[in-house]
Amino acid sequence: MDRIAREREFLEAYDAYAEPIFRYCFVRVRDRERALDLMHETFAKTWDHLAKGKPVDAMKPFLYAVARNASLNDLARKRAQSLDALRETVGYDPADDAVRSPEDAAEDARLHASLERLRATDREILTLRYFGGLSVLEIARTLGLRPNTVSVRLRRALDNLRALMHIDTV
Amino acid sequence: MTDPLDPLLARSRDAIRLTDAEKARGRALLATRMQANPLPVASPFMPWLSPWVRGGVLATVFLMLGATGVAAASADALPHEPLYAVKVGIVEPVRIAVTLDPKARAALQVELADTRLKEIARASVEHPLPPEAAERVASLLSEHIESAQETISALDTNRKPADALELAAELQATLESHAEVLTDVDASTPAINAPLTAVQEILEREAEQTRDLAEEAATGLEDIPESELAEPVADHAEETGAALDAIAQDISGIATLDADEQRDVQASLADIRATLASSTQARAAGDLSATARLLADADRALTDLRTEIEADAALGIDVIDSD
Repeated sequence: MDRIAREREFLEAYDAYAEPIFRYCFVRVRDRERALDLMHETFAKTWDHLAKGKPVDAMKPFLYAVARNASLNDLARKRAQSLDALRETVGYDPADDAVRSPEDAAEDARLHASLERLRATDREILTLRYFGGLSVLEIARTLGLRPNTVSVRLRRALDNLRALMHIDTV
Repeated sequence: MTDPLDPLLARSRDAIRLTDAEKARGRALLATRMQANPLPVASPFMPWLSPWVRGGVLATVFLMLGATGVAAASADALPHEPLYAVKVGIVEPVRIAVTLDPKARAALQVELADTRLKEIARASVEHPLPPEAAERVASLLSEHIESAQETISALDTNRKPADALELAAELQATLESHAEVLTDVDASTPAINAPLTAVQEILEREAEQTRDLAEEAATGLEDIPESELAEPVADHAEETGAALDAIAQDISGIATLDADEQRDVQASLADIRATLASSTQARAAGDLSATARLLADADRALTDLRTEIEADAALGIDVIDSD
């Protein structure tokens, strides 16, 4: 494939994955501006990797692995702020609440508070699946796990989240 | 069966959106970066070879040139000396290029960070660095640390938390112990040493980040079956035991240590031996996660001790910690 075609392909990957990567980063760092920076950093680092002549076998899992590392580094530097602190800042504002009912907004906040209380590995896998939009196979490639392990952890993480939110399946 | 969580997660996901302006701005930024840093064209130098093989050929050429003695002579060069450019511009990049194993490469980056910190300490005592030289060393130091941290993260992601923990513990101890040495150096120099302050800030920030990486890797141990931990833990135990023996053997031959310092060092060695004995017990009991954590503790203590002993001998100031 020539250079122009590869560049076009990478911009198409940006068009397809920028928003899901942003969502994933947002749930990890819970700050809109930081999530935007991390999304930019993810694509920039991936491009730099390609520009060094290094291969990428599967673009989507690779992007999420880069986003995951960038988020971990960001959290290590700045420490995650508590949800309470974030509500007092402009940071915790994933969407325009004018288009959501107060009930939806409250339920959303409860969901994020519960996600925050989960073990890091549970939160990671749920974030990749439900906010990043990755399949079980893609999560397995991103985290370097076996697909069966991912399935088991996903089910366990959902059970733990339900328990925290006092939700029963019907 | 309906799961009430599904619509909740879907609504929450849909609420997190990029605006069109944000997405367009990100695309424009990316396009600018792509123009500035284009994809590579095939190398005119033996293009039929892979980059790694080309690196090997260049390294061979370098080794042949090394016979002139310039490479060896540059080994002890300090940042203000002419041969320093050979050391950090040719010798070390070739060492990095020919180290293909990720763990060995990260260990090399930790070693080079240690080298930069020793240079900073020596230069601060013997010959205060000009600002541009200090800036260059600080920049190289940051590169070594960040490169090692990236590999540690990647090892953890790729189901190798034992290796990640081992490297993170060594890097963390390297940064923290040198920070203590530089504090002693700073206290022993009469004037305010601005480059030392800048390096101390780097060390404080990066040590904290490395500590978090170590904690993350230690947590990751729980997710790995014991069967996958057996080999890296066995290798780690062997390496740590050998490092302890080497320090114990070297210690009696170091003339710069006085009797009090010898006693302090022996006490530290006894503590490390006790930690290693605990790790052996944990391993015998089949608890490999605990073994890996104890080995990491022993590594940290060994790195602290080695840094203090070397600094004490090289700098001529008292840095052995008697606590």
